[in-house]
Amino acid sequence: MLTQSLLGATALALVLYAAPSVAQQANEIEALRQQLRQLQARIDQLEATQTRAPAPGAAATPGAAPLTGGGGFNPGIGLVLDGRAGYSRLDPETYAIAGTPLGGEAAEGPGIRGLALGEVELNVFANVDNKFFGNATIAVIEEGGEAEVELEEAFVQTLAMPAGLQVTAGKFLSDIGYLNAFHADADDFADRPLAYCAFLGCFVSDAGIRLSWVAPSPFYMRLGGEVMRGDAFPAAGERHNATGARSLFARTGGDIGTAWSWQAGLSWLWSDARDRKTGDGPDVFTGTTDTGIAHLVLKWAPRRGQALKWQTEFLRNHIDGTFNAKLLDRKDHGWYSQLVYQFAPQWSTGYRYDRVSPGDAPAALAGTAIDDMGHTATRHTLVTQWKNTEFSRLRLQYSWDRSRIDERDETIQLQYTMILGAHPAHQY
Amino acid sequence: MKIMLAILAATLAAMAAFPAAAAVEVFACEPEWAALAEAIGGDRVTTFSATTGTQDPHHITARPSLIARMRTAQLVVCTGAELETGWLPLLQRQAGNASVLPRAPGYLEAASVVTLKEIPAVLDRRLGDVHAHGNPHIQTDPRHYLPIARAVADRLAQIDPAGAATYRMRLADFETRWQQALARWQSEATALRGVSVLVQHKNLVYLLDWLGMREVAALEPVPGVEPSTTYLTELLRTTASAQPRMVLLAAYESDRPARWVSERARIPMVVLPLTVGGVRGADTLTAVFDVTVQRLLAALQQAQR
Repeated sequence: MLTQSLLGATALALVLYAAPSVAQQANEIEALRQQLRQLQARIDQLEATQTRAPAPGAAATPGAAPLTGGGGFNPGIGLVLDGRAGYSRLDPETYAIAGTPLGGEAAEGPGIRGLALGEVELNVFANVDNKFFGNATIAVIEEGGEAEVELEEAFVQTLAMPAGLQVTAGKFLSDIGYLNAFHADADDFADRPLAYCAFLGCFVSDAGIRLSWVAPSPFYMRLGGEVMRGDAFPAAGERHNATGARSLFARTGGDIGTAWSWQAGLSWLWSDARDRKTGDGPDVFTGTTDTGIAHLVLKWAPRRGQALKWQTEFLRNHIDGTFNAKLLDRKDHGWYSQLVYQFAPQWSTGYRYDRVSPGDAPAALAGTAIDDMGHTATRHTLVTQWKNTEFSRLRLQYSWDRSRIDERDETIQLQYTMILGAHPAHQY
Repeated sequence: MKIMLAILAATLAAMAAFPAAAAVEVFACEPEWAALAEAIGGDRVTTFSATTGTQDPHHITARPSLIARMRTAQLVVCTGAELETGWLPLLQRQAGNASVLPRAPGYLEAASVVTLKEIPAVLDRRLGDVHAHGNPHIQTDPRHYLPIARAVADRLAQIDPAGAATYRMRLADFETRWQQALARWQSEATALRGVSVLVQHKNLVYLLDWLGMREVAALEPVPGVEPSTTYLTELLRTTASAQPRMVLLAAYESDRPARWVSERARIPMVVLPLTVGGVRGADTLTAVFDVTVQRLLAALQQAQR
């Protein structure tokens, strides 16, 4: 039902977008006529006043094109370079989050030992024309001497749809939750929260279509929905004509005085999985997962170079299906809360607390990846970072990690992130 | 799913409770353009400024409240020339308001009607936050307000043809008052002609050009990067022969480098408003330049003592 209504609404919006009404064209012609009349009036006026010397330094060039561009580049092209050195008390190969099967990016785990080259990310973005914006992000990851190419995003987006509507199509980061829509290089920590990795494979990026709407209200309200193929964890396998994941989201926010601002949101993701394989076994899951996310972000920015950001998300994950051919129906919960303080223009420090509590595993599945054996995964993370400019950053991160059932892990990471070329503006 | 439908219903109900205003909604990126739009539009417009006089317009985030304001705006007036490149394009993309996108009549860049200075010959990030189209801090030269006011009046008349006569009248009124004020400031500020100064960031080039003052050097090694004391010591040594009389900075900047230089070189530090609300007393466009000229003259007197 949701899939049909979302796809129907999106199709209708696109048809209306592509076929501007005759009345609108007539309006445009009338507007152009008016502009011409005004220009003629301006020319007459200018000719009449030409004898008067113009104010120096105020040589007017009316009607000049806007000067805002991609820093002289069209399209904007940016390359993100990321490198890390790390210490990990336990072998990163044995990484697990108690009681949850790990998929997507989460399977690799956050820890590293020794030196590592992070993702090399190429980002190309531009307004295609007056009606569309396009963006592609391609990541290259080198592992064991072999380069692997990953398409993170490749989407087009409408720019000038009426009534505050916007359609996004292609492969994109889903707008569920708060953190999901951000690229990893914009994160405040070197890794994603445990709850994101446990329930969403660290992030959901999938091919599909999104319809969103910004309300013309005095407060900020954005509503939207997505229909996606369902290739990204927690969905898997092609089902329902490759529309295996659907989402709805709502966001609101505002200012409190001049220094404080906030954003809150609620979103839901429904995913279908058929023969989803996780772990080394591998474990096989067939069924549905629905994930609800509530988020709250509060920022305090009293002056340039000083800012405080508090960010919390609560995730509830309902799994219903068969896990290794045994029935499974349970609810998991997870949340994180983080505080990042920028105490000088170039310096910031932060703390994050993570917690994931899976539901009980049925007796038939005792001892498998979905059995937490009574252990709740928690993690404390401290980070300090130095930004020379918007384009370069060094980061030191320490985490005290009780994700695994049996043993405590401790990791230290030193990371650099550098951006060459253009960089799209950071969203709130 | 039920929760999400409830949110949709609540949003529609709340919107019905706040009917759209009759006046032209103007979204200004900086307070000076909000003040100018108000001077031209009067009661026919309501204005909103995305930044305050104490905020650096380079560095704000695309907050939810700004997206909401841009969604309903009919005219967006910004400096342009990449000053707002860190947040404005994102607002325009997220607000879903086609009438205020670049090249639409509802979007006006003040920088497009004046001549920019310091257009870089090479674009290299080693040189800091340089703007490809030139120095965007055009609001510091009061002469620029005349062509910009005309552009604002043109756009307002285009968006709200019923008010065209009002806008033309108010524009003529503004031009008369502004010409008088310009003549007054220029006669008051004759003593400042030829005075050498240090600036903290390269955001006063238009003001100094108007007053005929000489910028010896900027304290920032490259735009947007705070100087170290080692760098400042060396800078003072190399600029001593030019005899800078004062060090200038904007109200929204951290005064640490300028204060250090002021104490070390025994020259006055002058905090300038740059825009409406920048410092106490600078609460109208005219007051911004009144305060600016007063502060510079006071500093010159102090330096001569």
